[in-house]
Formats: sequence, structure tokens, C-alpha cells
Amino acid sequence: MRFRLAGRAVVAGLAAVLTLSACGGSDAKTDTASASGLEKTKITIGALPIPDSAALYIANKRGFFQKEGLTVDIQVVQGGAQAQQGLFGGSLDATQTNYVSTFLAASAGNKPKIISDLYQATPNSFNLMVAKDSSIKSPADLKGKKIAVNSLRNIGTLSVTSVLKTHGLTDKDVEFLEFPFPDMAGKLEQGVVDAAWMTEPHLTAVQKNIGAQKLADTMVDSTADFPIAGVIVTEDFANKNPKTVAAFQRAVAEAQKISASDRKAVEEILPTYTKGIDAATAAVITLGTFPTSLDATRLQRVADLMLEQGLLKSKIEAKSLLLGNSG
Amino acid sequence: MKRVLRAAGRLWAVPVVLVVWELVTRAAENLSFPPPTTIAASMYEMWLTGPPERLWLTDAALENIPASVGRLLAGWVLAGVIGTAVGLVLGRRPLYFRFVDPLVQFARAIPPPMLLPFFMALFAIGPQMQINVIVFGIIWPVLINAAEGARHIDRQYVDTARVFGLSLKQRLFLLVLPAAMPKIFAGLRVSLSLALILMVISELVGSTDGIGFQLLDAQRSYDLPGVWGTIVVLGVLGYVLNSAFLAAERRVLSWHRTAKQTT
Repeated sequence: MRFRLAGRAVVAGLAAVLTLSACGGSDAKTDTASASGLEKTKITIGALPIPDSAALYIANKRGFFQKEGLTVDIQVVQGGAQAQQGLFGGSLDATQTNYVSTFLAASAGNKPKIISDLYQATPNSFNLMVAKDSSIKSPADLKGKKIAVNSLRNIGTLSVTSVLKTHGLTDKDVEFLEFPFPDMAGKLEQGVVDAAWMTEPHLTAVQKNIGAQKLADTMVDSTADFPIAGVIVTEDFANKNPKTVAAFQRAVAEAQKISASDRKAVEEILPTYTKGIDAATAAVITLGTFPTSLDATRLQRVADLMLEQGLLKSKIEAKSLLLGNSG
Repeated sequence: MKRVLRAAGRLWAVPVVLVVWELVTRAAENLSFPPPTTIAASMYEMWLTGPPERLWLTDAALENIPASVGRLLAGWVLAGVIGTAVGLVLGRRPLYFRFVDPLVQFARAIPPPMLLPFFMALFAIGPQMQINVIVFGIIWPVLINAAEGARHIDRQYVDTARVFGLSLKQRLFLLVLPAAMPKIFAGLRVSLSLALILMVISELVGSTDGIGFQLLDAQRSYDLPGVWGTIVVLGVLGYVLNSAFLAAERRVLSWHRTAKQTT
């Protein structure tokens, strides 16, 4: 009897192990070919509720995806790092992400492929903010303080570290805490954190709503005009679905051109997917630029700065993460 | 000899599962599911590559593990003391119990992670907030069990205590507390496993050290072996705490079993 019980326990254990490893396989069944010859017509993509992803929403709303025969389901995520985990785990087909997280994932052995560039920094598009009557007057005062970022080890920590360095501090002198962008205003006001690394539209909102002050622009010097975010898929997905990826790229490129040339279009779409942003706020926020091509030389800056800060152990060629020259 | 064999008989499934796990993960070659040997190597790298004079423990090991265990135990002890004290009073005073019971049931039903943002606003981020979250989340099983234990004391004991004219203090320490002890221990055991869960959750959100923070950091670095290594440590920690608790319970409550047998 004892033996039988033990035997059963083993069988159960084996079953558990097998199920676990089976989960990892994730042989997502691709939709069978459509009229347009796409390998897969339904795509689930992760996106952050910030201006970076405007082109995705514009492409969806104006029917650019439909025109290519794609049905795109946009899922809201908190940060690129979290979204990439979903991508490699198989719950997302593609995702918006910041490039720092992408290079980090690549260095850990994952195989992300960048298929579209979405966003590039401009002055004051990513700022460090402090509460209304904060005693922190310069980044040099941040020693021993808590700074909110949307995800650890991403573009936020990289650019803040670069600002700290300019003021004689290192990332070891501060403590980074993870909070979603929409929560940061509250955390600043409650004093949970001393500073917050924010982007629009939250930057404008936090100044208007709680009188927060700008401490520093984090997109200066080594991060000036920095490449911020793009869309990635896994290498496996790109190999299996080349036509789907190409169709997606065409649709995003078309939307990206609109975002780049027509600010009004971005202002219109923003309130539809970011919480608490009205048209008036959307009209005054500082936007980054929306690059219309994918350029390895520009992306290389991210990898090089990561190497310099010790976030990467060895050099990564940005080119190795691109599919081709299509944008 | 017999004991050793019996222990081996109980544990034989562990190596079998490990070997199968190793073989399956090696065959699958999925980055999300590294083989156990890779996980073990990463655990060694994370915690045991420090200088020899510190027993090879790394900064991460010395910073994170004691911080986490300290908060867990502090929260658990506080919850145990407060829960037992309040529970005994409520158990012996049916009127109070009637008033307070709905509140207790309500508070107990709130999933503690939902309260994290409020605790974060009330207390600065740090051990104080985390211990408060743990205490709030785990006090209920102790409190309710202590009240139950104190409520259902054998009539005979109560009458005997009255006949002998025991003072209030004597009644509490010689009668109520010992009689409720088995129930209190049952509550404490549930609380201990809850405390581990809340410790991790409170460190995943708004924290700058601890095992949970290390887990988050490993995740953000795409260090999956590190993530699994941290999970293994949490599992081992839970197992060790539970075993230690059971051993302590056997010792403390042994009188209770013998007392029951003689009556």
C-alpha cells in the first residue's frame, strides 16, 4: 500500500514536470493562410499607454492593419521588460519595448528581432520629476534617495544613471523602484518615492495636478536624441511568418509617417488609450520624434551606452537584431 | 539503520524527479525552463562566490536573505503575540466577540496584497511597511483560532479553577492559555506559510532589498536561471520554517497529548 502511494506520487510528479516543460514549448497554432497569403492574420501585440505606441493605435484605427489583412489586438502592458517576458513566453506575438530591455534580453540568450522603430527622444520628453516642495534641487541631491522607474534595468534606469554620472553619482547611490507610469504622481505626492522618471502625457499631468517640478531632462549628452522604443518579435516568429511581419511593418510605417508629420493625429489618438488625458493636455505635451526608418547605427548607441554602464557584459551588434533594411 | 532506510524510501522520488526534469529541460532547450544543474550553478554564482572569510557568502546573500527572513519572523512573532492576546480576550468575553466578529471576518476576507498601496502611503517603503503588511495579512488565523480555543474550554477545568479560587492572572496563564494552545499553534502554522507569501509579495512591489527584490531583478535582467534559483530558495525556506515549527510544536505541546491521555 505504501509503495503504491509512493508510486502514485512519482507519477503525479512526473506529470507535473512534463506539463511544465510542455508549457514552454508553446507551439502556437498559426492561423491557416488567408486570401492575402499571410501565414498568420491575427496578431496580439503588447503596448504601453504612452505616446511611443501612437502609430500602433493609429494603424489600428485608420484601418492600415486591416488593409494588409491583419487583425491586431493591442494589449496594454506596464513596461517593455514585462512585455518581453510575455513575448518569449509565447503569450504575445509582438510587443512594443524599449531598446535597453531588448538588448538585455538578447544578451541573456533570447532572440528578439526589431521590426519597426517607434520613438526617439527629444529634449524634455523624459524627465526626472520631484514633488512640489521637494528639497532636492539638483540631481546631485539624489544620493540615498528613491527614484521611481516603470521597470528596473531599462531605458529609465539607463538614462537616469547617465544623468547621475554627470553629477558625480552612480546608480549605487540611489534606489530604483518599479511603478507603472500612471501611479507615479501618487507615489510622489505621498512621498513614497523622492523622484520619478516620467514621460508624457504623465509629465504634463503631474505638473498640472500636483505641481511637481522638473529636476532634470534625462535625454541630454550621451542620451540626446536617444532611440527609445520599437516593436520586436522573436526570431522564431519572424522566420515562420515572414509575410505577416512584412505586412505589419508596412502598416506601421504608414502610421508612423502620419505620427511624424501630423502632430494633430497623435493628439487625437492619445486620449483614446491613455487614462485621464484630455484633448487640452494632449495639445501641450512634449512629444518625441517618430522615426520612419529602422537604423542600426542609431540603435548601436543604446548597446554601447549599456556596455559602458556595465549593463551589458560584452558588445552586441545592433545589426544582428534587425531583419533587414525594411522599415 | 531502519530509520535511514525509511527516510531514503520517503525521499527516493526527489532524485528521480530531478533527473527527469534535467533530461526533459535539456531536450526542450527552452530558455524559460533551464535544467536543474544550470539553476544550481546560478544559485552558487549568486550566493556562494563571496570571500572565504565570510563563508563564501556574497553581498547579495548577506543583504537579501537575512533581510527577508528577519521581516518574515518579525511579522510572524508580532502577529502571533497580538493575535493570541486579542483572541483570548474575545474568546472569554462572548459579548465582545459578538461585536467584533463581523469586523474580523471582513478584515480577514481582504486579500492583503490589495492593501499594499495603502500601506506604502502610510509607512515609508522599507521594513516597517513590509512587516505591517505581513502582520495584517497573517494575524487572522491566529486570532480566530485563539478565540475558538479560549471559548471552548472544558467546563470541568473552569469549574475546578473557580473552586480553587484562582485569580484572573492565574486563570489566564494556568487555564485559558494552555487550553487554547493546540488551537493557537494550528493558527500559527497557517500564518507562517502565509507570512512567506506576503514577504515575497511585499518585496516584489516597492522594495529595494530582500529575496523578492532579487527575484524581480533577475527577471528584469532576463536571468531565468536566477529566477528559478530564487524560487528554489523560497521553497527551501518554506520547508525549513515549517519543519522547525513542527519540531517546536511537538516539544511545546507534548504535555498536552499526555494530559489528554490521562483524563
